[in-house]
Amino acid sequence: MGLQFSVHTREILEAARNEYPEPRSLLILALKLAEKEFGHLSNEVLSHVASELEIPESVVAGVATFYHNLHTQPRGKHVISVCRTLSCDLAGGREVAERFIELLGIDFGETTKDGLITLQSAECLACCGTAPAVQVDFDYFESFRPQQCKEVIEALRQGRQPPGGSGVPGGWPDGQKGAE
Amino acid sequence: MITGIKRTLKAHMGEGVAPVVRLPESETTVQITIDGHELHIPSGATVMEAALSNGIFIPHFCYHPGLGPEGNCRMCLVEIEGRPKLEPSCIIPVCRDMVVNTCSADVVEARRGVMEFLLLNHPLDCPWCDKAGECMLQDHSYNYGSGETRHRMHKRTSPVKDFGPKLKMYSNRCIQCTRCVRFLAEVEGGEELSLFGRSADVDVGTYIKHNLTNNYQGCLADVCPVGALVTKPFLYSARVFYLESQPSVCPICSTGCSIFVDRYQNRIVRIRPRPNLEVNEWWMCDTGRFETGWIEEGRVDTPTFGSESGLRQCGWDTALDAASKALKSAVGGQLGGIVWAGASCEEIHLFTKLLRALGGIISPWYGPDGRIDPAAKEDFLRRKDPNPNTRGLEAIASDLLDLEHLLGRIDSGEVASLIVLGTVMDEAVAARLSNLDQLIVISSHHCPVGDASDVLLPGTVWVEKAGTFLNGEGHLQRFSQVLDIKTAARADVSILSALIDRCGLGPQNEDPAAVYEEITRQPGPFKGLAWGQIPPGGRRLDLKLPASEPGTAGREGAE
Amino acid sequence: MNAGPFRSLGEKPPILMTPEALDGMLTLDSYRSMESGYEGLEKVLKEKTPAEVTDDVTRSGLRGRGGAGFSAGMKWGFIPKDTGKPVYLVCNADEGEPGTFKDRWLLRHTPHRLIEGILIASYAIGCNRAFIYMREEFAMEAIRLQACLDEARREGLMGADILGSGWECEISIFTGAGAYICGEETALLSSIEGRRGYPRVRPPFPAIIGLYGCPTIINNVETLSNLPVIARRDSDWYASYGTDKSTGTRLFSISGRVARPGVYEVEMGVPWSALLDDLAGGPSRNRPFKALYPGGSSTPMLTAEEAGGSTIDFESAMDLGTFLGSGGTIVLDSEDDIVDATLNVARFYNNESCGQCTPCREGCRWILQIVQRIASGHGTAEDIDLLLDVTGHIEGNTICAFGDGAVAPIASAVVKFRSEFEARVGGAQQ
Repeated sequence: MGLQFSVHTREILEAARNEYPEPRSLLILALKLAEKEFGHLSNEVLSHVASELEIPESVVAGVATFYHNLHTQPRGKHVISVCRTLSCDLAGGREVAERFIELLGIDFGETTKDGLITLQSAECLACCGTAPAVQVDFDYFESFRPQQCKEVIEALRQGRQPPGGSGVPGGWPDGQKGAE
Repeated sequence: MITGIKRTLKAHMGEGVAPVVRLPESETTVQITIDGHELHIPSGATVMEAALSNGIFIPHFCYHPGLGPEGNCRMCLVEIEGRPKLEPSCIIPVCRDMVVNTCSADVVEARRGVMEFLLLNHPLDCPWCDKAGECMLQDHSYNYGSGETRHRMHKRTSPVKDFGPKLKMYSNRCIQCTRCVRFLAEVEGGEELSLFGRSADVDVGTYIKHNLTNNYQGCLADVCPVGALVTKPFLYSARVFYLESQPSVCPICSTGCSIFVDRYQNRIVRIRPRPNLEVNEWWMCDTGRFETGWIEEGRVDTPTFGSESGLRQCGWDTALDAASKALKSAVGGQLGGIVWAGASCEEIHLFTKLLRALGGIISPWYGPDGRIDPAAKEDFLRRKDPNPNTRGLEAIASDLLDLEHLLGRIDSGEVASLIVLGTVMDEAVAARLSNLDQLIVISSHHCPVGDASDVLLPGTVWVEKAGTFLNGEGHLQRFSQVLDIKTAARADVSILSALIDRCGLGPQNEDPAAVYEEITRQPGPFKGLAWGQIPPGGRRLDLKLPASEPGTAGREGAE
Repeated sequence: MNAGPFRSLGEKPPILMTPEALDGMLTLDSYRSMESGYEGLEKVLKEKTPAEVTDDVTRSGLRGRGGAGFSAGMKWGFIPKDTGKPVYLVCNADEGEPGTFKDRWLLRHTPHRLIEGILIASYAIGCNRAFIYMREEFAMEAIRLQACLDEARREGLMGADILGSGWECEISIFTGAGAYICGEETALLSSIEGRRGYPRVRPPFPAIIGLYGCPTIINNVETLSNLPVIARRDSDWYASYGTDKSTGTRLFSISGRVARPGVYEVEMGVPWSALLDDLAGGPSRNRPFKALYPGGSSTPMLTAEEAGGSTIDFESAMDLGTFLGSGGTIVLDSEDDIVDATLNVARFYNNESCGQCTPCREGCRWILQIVQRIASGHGTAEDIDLLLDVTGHIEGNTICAFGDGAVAPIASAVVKFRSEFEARVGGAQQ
C-alpha cells in the first residue's frame, strides 16, 4: 500500500487538530490536501484519508462527493472555470464559454486529450460587477473578453501563469495558516 | 384493499403492542389541542409524538421513533395556530395551549405536493417490489397521491447495490429519507452507509463498494419506508398481505427481543422485530432474524427407546412408560437432572417439581462455554449469553448443583440415572455419561447427549409451544405457539406433565398457563403476576440482582 | 449630483465606503491612522460590559446584512446566560448569492474592520473562539485576511489577553469547498464540523445549539464590519441614518444592464432610482429597464415600474412582496428575455440544491426541466401553470430558505411576465 501523506501535509493536519474541538472538522481540509498531493480523490485516496483521520470510509466519501471543489474524478493539470450565472451570462459569459469550447475542442465537463486543461462551468464567483468572470485554477480573471481565451490557453500550454488574473493560481496555500 | 391498508397502518403503529413512541420523561405536562382533541403531553415531546401516542396518525416517511428527528421528507407538515408556515410535526416541540390542525386544506395540499415530488422519480415497481403491502409510499399515495404523473421526462435512476448475503438495495426506489443512514450512525454506531452527491443526484450507499458488515442489516430493511432496502433471504418469497404475523420472543440470546413471526401455511417466512420499549425498542439482530434454519434441521421426529437390539423408534406410550419406570426405579440420590437455560419457565418448573419429588439433584447447562453473565452486552442490543432463560432457570430452580459436581457423581457411580431437559450440544458432557444406567433425554434436536440416551423424547422448539422467558434484565415475556407441530414431537411441558402423572405425582395440568400459575403461587419474583396480566411487551420482575448495564437499547450519543 | 459611491437621504457621509476605504486600508497601520482602527474595540473592552455592547447594537437598529435582516443585537441576546458551554462566533464570508459581491469588496478593502467587528461581537456574546467561513474561491482575500490576522495577533489585538484586558479571542479562517448552500447559516456550521453542508432543522436555533452543539452566532461580513464605527461613535448616531425600522446604510452590489456596475452604499430609505440611475448610471444599452432582482436571484423580481415607485428599505420591499436579501441587484432591460433569465437561475438552483428535503430536491430539478422545455419551444400552456403549482408546493415547505429562494425568481417571473412565457409556448411546433 503506497499512499502516505507527505510530512508537510501531516504537519498542517497536526497544527489544525488543535484549532478544532472535534477531529471531524479536519476532514474537508484533509481532502483538499489529499487532492493536491494525489491528484484526485480516488477510492484509494478516500480510504487513506478515512484511516488517517479515523472516520468511516462512507462518511469521508459522502463529504468528498458533496462539495463542488472536491473531485473524485481525475481532471486536467489546469482547470478553466467559466461563470455561467446570470450577471456573467448577460455580460458576455456565453461568448467566452463558446470561445473556449471552440479553441479547446472540448465541451464543458471535459478534458483535453493531452490532459492539460479541463473546462468547466462555475456558479456565481462574486464578480458580477466585473463580469464575465473566469477562474484558471484559483486565479480570478474579471471583465474577461473572448479575445483573452487564446492567451490563457497559450500560457498554460507553455507552462506559464496566464497574465491578468488575481495572481494566486494555487489558491490559499494549504488552506491554513501553517504556511508560515 | 381496505383490510390490507388497515393492516399496514397497524403494522406501522405496532399492531396493538404498547405505544411504539417513546415520550420523554418529564415532570411537567402541557395541554395542547390536536384536531380538536385536548391532550396532556409531557413537555419536551414533539407534536408528532403527541399525536401518535394518542391515536392520531400524521403521515410521515423520515420520522422514526427510534431515530433522531430529521424533518427532511416534509410529509408531516401540520398547521399550528399562530404560525405563518406549516411546521414539521416531527421537529416542533409541544408548548402550552398549542393548537394543531393535521387535516386542514393547506396541510392536505402540502402532502399532495410531497407525494407528487416523491413519485416523480419513483419507479412503478409495485408489482414485483417486496415492500408492496407494507410500503409507506403506497399507503400515503392512496390518500394523497395522484393517479397520473405530470412529469414528462425520464426518471432518475441509480444502479442496484449488492450489500452482501443479507441486504440488497434497489436505489431507484430510494426516497432519500436517510432512515438507514441514521440508524447505522445513531443506533448501531458503525456509519457504514452514507449519502453521496448533491441535489437531485443524492444517493445512499457505501460508495467504496463493499458488503455491509454490521449485524443489524435487517433493521435497515425494516426502517426503509419503501422497497429500496430489502433482505435477500426474504426477497421474492411472499406477498406480505398473505402472511399472518404472530407475536413471539427471540430465543437466541438473553436479550429476548420481542418479535413478530410471519408465517404462511405453517411455515416461518420471516421474522422481524416487534416494538418493545423496555427490551429491544424497535430492533433485533440479524442472527435472530435470519438464522432460522436450525429450527427444522436435525429435529428428533419421534420418540426412541433403547433395548438390547439398540435404539429404535417407538410410540409415546412405550417411551413415556420406559422413562417413568426408569425415574421411579432410581433411588433417591441416585437420580440427577440437567436442565438447559433454553427451557421456558414452565418447563423448568415442571422439571424441578419432578426431580424434587423423586429426590433428585439438578444441574444447569448453559452451553459449551459455561455460564455467561446474562446481563453482559455484546453490542447495543445483543447479549453474550446465548440462552433466553438463564434468569428464569436460576429464579425457579433453587439449590442448583454445579454441573461439574453432578458429572463427578456420575463418574463415581453415585448418580446412576439422569434425565436431561434440553439440547445439550456438548461432546465433552456426553462423554462423561457412559457410566449411567439410565439416560433419558427430552430434546427437540439431535445432540451428542441425546445420541447416548436410552430414551429420547422429542420436544419442540419455541415457535411450536407457549411459555415464558425471563431475559438478562429480569424482563418476563410470554411467547405463544406460532406453528403447528409437524411431527410426532410434543411440547416439553406435555412430556413433563405425562412423566409427572406416570410417576404417580399427578395429576398435572399440562397447559402452560396453568403451569405458570403454579409458579406464581410460590414465593419468588413471579408472585402475584397472573398469566393473563403479563402485558404484550412483558413485565420487568424484581429479581434483586446486583447492578448491571441498562437493559434497553438506546441511541448512541444523542446530540 | 453627488460624487462618490454613496447616496444618502440628506448630506450625510458614508459609513462603509469612505474615501479611506476606497483607497483600501490593508495594513494595521493604515487602518489605525486612517480610521482610528481598533479604538472601538478598546473603548468597548474598557468601558462596556458584554450586555451593554449588545444593548448598544440593538439600539442602533443594525439588522443582518446577509439576507435575513434580523436584528443583530436581538440575535446576540438569544445566547443563553451561564450556558457552561463555549460560545462561538462565525463570520459568514461564503458570499455566493448571484449578483452579490459586496462582502468580497469589504474583504479586499477593509479586512481589519472585519477583524475588529468580529472581536467586538465576540466580546458581546462571550466568545473566545471565532471562525471566518470563507468560500474557497476567495483565495486572494483569504491570503490578505490571514496576513491581517497575523498582524493583529502580533499587536496584541487578537489571541490572548487582548489589549491587556484579560479577555482572549482566537480567530481562524475556515475555507469552504464549493457549495452555495454553505452560505446558509446552519449548513455553514455543518461544513465547519466536517460534514456534508446540510442546513439544519430549527428548532433548536444555533444560538442555543449550534457549532459542535454549542451556542453560536453567525453574522455576515457587512454586519460585522459596521460594528467598529458603531462602537467608536454610538448607536444613536448609527440609528440617525435610514428609516425607523431600517437604520443605517447598506452596500448594494449592482450588475446587469447598468452603465456602472459595482458596489455602492446607500442610506436606507433612498429611492431605487438613487441606486439604479444615479450611482449605477442608468441603462447600459440605451434600452429602458424592464425588471430587476432586488437582492440577489433569490428575491422575487420587481418590474422597473415597481422599483421606480419605491424606496430601498426592508418594509418597502415587503410591501412589494419581495425583500432586500443580500443586496445583490441584477438589472434586466427591455431587450432581455425573461424566460432565458429564468432558465439561467433555474439551472443555478438545480445545481446548488443540497438535496436534503423532498420539495427542493425534486422540485428544483423539475422546475429546471419545465423551464428548459418552455425555453426550447417544446413547452405547453399547461407547463406555465405547472410551474406555479410546483413552486407553490415548495414555498414555505422546505427546511431552509433555499427552497423559497429557488422559487422566488421563477414564480415572480411567471406572474409578472407571463406574456413572455406564453409567447414561448404559443409558437411550439410538435
